[in-house]
Formats: sequence, structure tokens, C-alpha cells
Amino acid sequence: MSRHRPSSLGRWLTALGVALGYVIIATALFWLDLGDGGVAPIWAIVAVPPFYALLSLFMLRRVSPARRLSWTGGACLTHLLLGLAAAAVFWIVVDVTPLSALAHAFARLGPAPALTLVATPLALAPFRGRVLAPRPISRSARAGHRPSIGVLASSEMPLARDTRRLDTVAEAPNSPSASAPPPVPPTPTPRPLPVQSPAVFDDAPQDDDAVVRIRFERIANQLPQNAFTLPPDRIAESLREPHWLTVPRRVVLALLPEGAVQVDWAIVASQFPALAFAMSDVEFRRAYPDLKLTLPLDDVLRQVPRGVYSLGPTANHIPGLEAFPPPFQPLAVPRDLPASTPSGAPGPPPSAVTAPPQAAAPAQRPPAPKPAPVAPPAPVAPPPPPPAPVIAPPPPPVAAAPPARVAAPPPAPVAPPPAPPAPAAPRREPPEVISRDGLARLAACLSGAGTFESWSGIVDGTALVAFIAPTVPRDAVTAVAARVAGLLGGAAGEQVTVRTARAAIVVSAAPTPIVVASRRPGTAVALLELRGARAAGLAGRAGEGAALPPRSLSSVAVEPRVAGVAGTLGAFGVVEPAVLTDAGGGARVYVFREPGREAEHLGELALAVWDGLGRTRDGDLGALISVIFRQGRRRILVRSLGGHGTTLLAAAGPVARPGRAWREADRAAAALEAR
Amino acid sequence: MSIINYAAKVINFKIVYYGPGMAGKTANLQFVHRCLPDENRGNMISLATGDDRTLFFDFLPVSATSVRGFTTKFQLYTVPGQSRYNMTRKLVLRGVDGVVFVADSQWDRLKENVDSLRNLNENLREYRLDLASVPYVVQYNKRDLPDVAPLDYLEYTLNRGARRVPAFEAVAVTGKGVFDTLNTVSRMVMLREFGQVQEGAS
Repeated sequence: MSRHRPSSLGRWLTALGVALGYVIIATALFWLDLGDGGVAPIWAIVAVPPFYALLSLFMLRRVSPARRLSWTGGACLTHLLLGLAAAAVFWIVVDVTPLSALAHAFARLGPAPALTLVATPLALAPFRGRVLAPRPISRSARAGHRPSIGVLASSEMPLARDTRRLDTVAEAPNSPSASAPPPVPPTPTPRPLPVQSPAVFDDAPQDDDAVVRIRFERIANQLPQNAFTLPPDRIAESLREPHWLTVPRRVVLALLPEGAVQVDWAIVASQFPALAFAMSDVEFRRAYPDLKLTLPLDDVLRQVPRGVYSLGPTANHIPGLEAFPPPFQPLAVPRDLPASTPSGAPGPPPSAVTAPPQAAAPAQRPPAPKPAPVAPPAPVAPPPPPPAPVIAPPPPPVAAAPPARVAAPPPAPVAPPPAPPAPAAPRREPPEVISRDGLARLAACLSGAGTFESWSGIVDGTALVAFIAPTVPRDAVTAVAARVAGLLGGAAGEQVTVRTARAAIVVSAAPTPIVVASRRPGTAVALLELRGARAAGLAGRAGEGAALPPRSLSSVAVEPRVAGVAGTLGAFGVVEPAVLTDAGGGARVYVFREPGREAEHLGELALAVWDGLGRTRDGDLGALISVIFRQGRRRILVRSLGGHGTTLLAAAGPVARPGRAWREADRAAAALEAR
Repeated sequence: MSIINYAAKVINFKIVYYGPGMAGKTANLQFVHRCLPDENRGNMISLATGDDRTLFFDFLPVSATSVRGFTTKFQLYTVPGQSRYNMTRKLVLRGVDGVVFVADSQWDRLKENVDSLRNLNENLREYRLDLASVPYVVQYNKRDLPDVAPLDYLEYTLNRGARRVPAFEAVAVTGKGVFDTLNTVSRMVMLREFGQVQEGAS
């Protein structure tokens, strides 16, 4: 389907073939003495140039008069050459005098002059495309516009083939930015002069006949795909100048101040082969009436004389300005925290801006002491001698025993720091957190849930009883458990399940929190939760959990997209969305909770638990996936969005099918991440 | 128009950071807020959408030097860059004393810069102002990105009127050029208010 476009050699061969055919036919007719009508009148000779001029009007409709005139001159010259060639053959073959041969070729009412009028346009036809193509910028014109800084422009290539050969030059990174001078200076005018709108500028010379060449590949994706029958690479080969689109430079210059060069389709339409279109020209224009092609500005600027848009340096001086010292002196070291303190309530509403600034401007606050970070209560130091942890062999499966108090439960654990930034302190364990009998009774509650190593001790001030699968690193599990155990007991619920990439950790509230951990995937997490809850019930009632560290959270507007996500969390019942950000603006929590419930508490809980578990990420347990608090049927699910802990999803509600709730939260997270 | 409180000896100026969406206007204010001493800055108020785009405007009051016995205070505002918030932009421009036009240097944002500058002119005309009468500087932001336009072309599109105004290259998130821009427009505002001969600046 693609149109064949002959090479330069092919065009010349075609022209020579036409000439040869003409000579042969004319000679044959002359030899046979056919069609000779005698001497032609003078007007028949004089009318040859006007004939070609008239012909150019029909053959070259879209070119300038200058090019038509040029073609006419070429045609006359070709006519002369053909006639001379025919005369030479007549003279050689038929043995006539040279003068007679010339007369028969040019000045007879015979076949030879008539054939010359036909052969000349045919011989020139292969070069018609070059006549129609826009002319590249001339060397003299380029020399006139050449910038003082040496910027190689691809328009300096006079012929298409040269430009194609230098593709790499045309696509080299733009260098002027690197050498551009920094701050541009003001004019030394005491009172500023009007700034002209960019739209009113028009520096483009109107008589410019040069073109800007753009590689087709750079604009191919802007073409409507279903309007063409050829793939883009075939279209590129079939362009009038293969792989290049040319745009008159005057058009480009007129658009240059707009910051984007968007040319109408009509300007480049003629460069596309007719066979490439899947519809007629009329249908195309009807289907895409406003089609414009945005030319790549970096390519365009390389082909525009820099003097067109370079304004040059100006003096950076405003008289009188030096009398005012710079009023603002920044701190040597910026504060680390983000400066913005997003406010839930809009600051001064737009109307407030119109009020006198004295009223609108907040009073200057005195230097306020920086808010100290929320310090967790100091952990209770356990007795110094750290004996080896009590390790009990996994007990045999035992039927559930009647609930019994653990022999010697330690006092209620002190609330752990929610976000311990320092590495885990050296573990100091009391001689006995739980008796061996009590440990065995708790272990019996886990029968059928797997094989565990039992352990008890104090981690970061939190006493724990743990049952951990042998394949899971114990230190990592107890560190995680110690951080989340302090949140249990209050509004956070009676059990928390932490899922990481390689483990599931269930911590149940009890006088000494009970930890059950196993490897995942491959673990029935729901079974661990059930057995953990049973063991906690055996151990007794837990104390009240520690209060959450206060976080200043504020609500921001809920986008429709977020509201739509709420509808996908059906396993949590009917939930309402809220979006909270912290005071520093660095954290954001998407909260979905039951109607009437406070969103801030959930946000605080989510941030506290994620801050506390931040160190777990990518540790021995793998990346943190989710944290689920359970309080009766109500569950609070917290997970991060986008793989980092500064954007969280917290969903809460009565859950009858925990697995479905987990999956729905997973999908909701994906939807929020895809924003 | 500056507001002068003679009783309190305070003069308030309003500077508006204008520009297309995502050009870095809020980033400018955030860096200013981070880098000013506590005694010079107030609370920054931002209201952003879920995509961290400015919904109404950002507001940061800062105090500066003392001139002729008056304490100068500057209220720094940004506008929402998205085209649909033009009414808010108009309101924020009311009573403006100085303008910082924050342009995005990336190739594909150049047209939005031009459109935004045109919009600034139109909105100022509603208050019978224009950029020729308001102290005004241009900041070419995001100069650290790889696909940015050359400075001379940015100047050609945004700063080539009869009056060439001060222009600065900037990387607002790192602070490059932020205080140069703010100090220059502030000094231009003071120069217009107090005239050529300034006495008693401290």
C-alpha cells in the first residue's frame, strides 16, 4: 500500500528514458518522413515558453509563482536539450546538414517539435516532488541569523539526505540551558513599563520560505490511529520526505511565544501519501476538525536562529533597591520537618482576603518553644540478672483444661513506647514471668494449631508469654509483640494480628500478653487467633491499655474517588470515609469507619501502630503487610499504601467474614494507590 | 495596596505567588516557613486536596525589617494553579502589593506558564492593575530536572515585554533561589512604598 518513492538516481534514469524514447520516436518519424507539414510560423516557436508557463499553472498548483517560473525555465531548457539531441541524431542517422536537422527539430510543423512539447513535461515529472517540497533554509539566510554562540542547528543541512544522516546531531540534548546565564536582570527603570502579553508578539518574518523539520516518530502518537491504513513506520517511509515532516518556519515562529507550537493539520496534510488514509480527505476533516500537531519544542528551537528568541542579558539593577537590605535572612540549616501545617479548617476563607490585612493577618507569635516529642513513659527496669529464658518443649496436644489463673503473673505491663526509634535494648528478663505449669496450661490451648516453642520474658519493659513456631525468629517476633501489646486493652481491642511477609503474629490481651506466631504463608491465621483468644481467656482479664500518644490530626476534603472506595468495603458494614493528615503534613490516613464513630482515634491508632512497627519492615520477618485489631466482632484493619508507612488505610467495623474483609481492604488499598 | 497601622507602627504588604498548577508555589512558601527564625514567621496555613494540590490558597505571614520606624510585615499567599479555581485566584489578588510568578521550567509545561501569565494579567486588570504597575518578579522553578527549557526561551515567553523584570532560577524543594526571589520582590515592594530615598532602614 505504501507509495513507492524513487531515489534521485531513479528520477534521473526515468528522465533519461523519456528523452531516449522521444529521440527514437522522433527519429523514426523523421526517417519515415511522416507528419511533416512544412516550415512552422514564427509564433509556433515563440509560443513554447508561454506554453510551459501555462502548463505550470495546472501541474504546480500549490507552489509559489517563483517556483512556477523556475519550473518554466527548466522546461524551456529541457525542451532545448531534447531538440538538440533529436537534431544530432537526425544529422547522424539521416545524413542531413546540421542546419536542416535543427530546423526539423525546432521549426517544422512536424512530429519532432510536437513530440518535444510532450516529452519535456514527462522528463520533468520525476522531479515534481522536489519542486513541490518546501525549500530548506538557505546557507546565506542561516549565516545571517547564526547566533554568536555555536549551536548546531539541523536546519543547516541543505538537503534531506544530509539531515537524515545527521539524526544524532538533531536529537542531541539541548545545550543552551547549560550555558544560559543565571538571574536575569531588570531594567533600570524607576517605574515599570507595561509588560506586553506574549500573545501580541509576532516576530516572525512573513516572507520566510524556510522550513522546520521534525522527525515523524516524535509526533506519530498524536495522529488518530484509526484514520490511517498503514502503521506509523510505513507512514513515515511514505511521507513526501521520508521520516520527516516539514513545517514552514514562519508558522513556527508565529507560535513560538505561546510556549507550544501546535500546527493545524492542514499545514502538513499534503505530506502524507493519499493511500495511507483510511478515509477520504473530506471524511478526515469532518472526523477531526480541530486536529493539531504539537511539535517538540526542543527540536524546533534547535532549528530556529537563536537570535529570534534570545533576548540577551539585561542589566540586573533597579535604582534605589540597594537602599533596602534583603529583609529575610534564612536559617543556616532548614528545619527538617515539612513546614506546612495543614489545617482542617480553611485558613482565611477567600472572602477574608478582602478584609484589611490587619484583621486577616494572624498576630506575630512570640518565639514559642518547639514542641517536645512525645516521650513515652520510662520503661520499668527489670531486675538485672538475665537468666536464660524459660524454654519449654512443645507440649503434647492436651484437651482444653478448665481455666486457671497463671501462677505468678507479673504486674500489668507498662505501656511500651509507640515508636521506639532506637534498636531494641538488651533483653533483661525476670527469673520467672509465668510458672512452668501455667505455661503448659496455655500451651494446651494451642493444640492443633501447630508446633511452637514456648517462651516468657520481658522485652522493652513488656512481659510476654510467647508460643513461636521454630521457623520464625523469636527475637523479631517478641520485639513486634512488645510494641503492639501496649495498645491492647483499651479501644484498640483484645487481640491484634500482625501480618508480615514471612510471619503471622497474634497478640492477645491478658495480664501477661500472649503471643502466638507462625510462619506464613501456610498458616491458618484465623485458627491462631481463636487459639490465642482461648489462651488469653484462660490467663485472665487484661488491664486497660495505654493511651495512644496524642497526634494532631486534621481532616481534609474527601475526594469522590475515596468516597467510592468506601462502597467496596462491604465486609465492614456501612462505613464512612475520612482523610486525616498529621501536623507535619507527612502522614495521611484514609479512615473508613462506622457512621457516628470518631475518625481521629482510628487515625491515631493507625499511625501509632505503624510508627511502632516501622522497624519491622524488611527485617527478619519481611515487610509489614497489615495490622488487625479485634474487639468482639469489631475489627480495625490498618495497612500501608504505596509501600511506605506515611500513607495508611484504616478500616473499622463489625466483621463476620475476616478473610473477605482482608481481601476487600487489599483491593481498596490498590484502588487508593492507583490515584 | 499596603495597609498601614499607624497606632501599632506596622505596615502590611501582600505578596502573591502566582503560576500554573504544580509549578512549586506552595513549595516556595514551605521552604520559607522552614528557614525563617520563629520570631519572623507565623503559622502557615494550607488546605490541600487529596492530591496535595492547593485547594484555596496557602498563607504565611512573615515579618521583616523595620523601615522608618514601621515594622514591615509580609503576607505571602499562593493561588490554586488549576484553571477551574480562577475565582479564588481573583480574590487572592485583591490588594496585592507584589507578585512572584512561579514558572515550571519543563518543556511540557511551557504553554501552561504562558496561559497562567495571561490569566494573571487578566485578573489584575479586574482590579485596574497590571504587571507594569505591580512589583513583579519571575521565578523559573524546577531547574534541577533534566527536561527543562533553556532560560533564554523561558525569558522569551514570559519576560520579554518592554519592562524586563528580575528573574531567578530556582529549585524550590531544595531552597535554591527561593530567598533571592522573596527578598527581591520584598525590596521592590518597599521601594515602591517608601520611594527612592529610604531612611532609617534597620
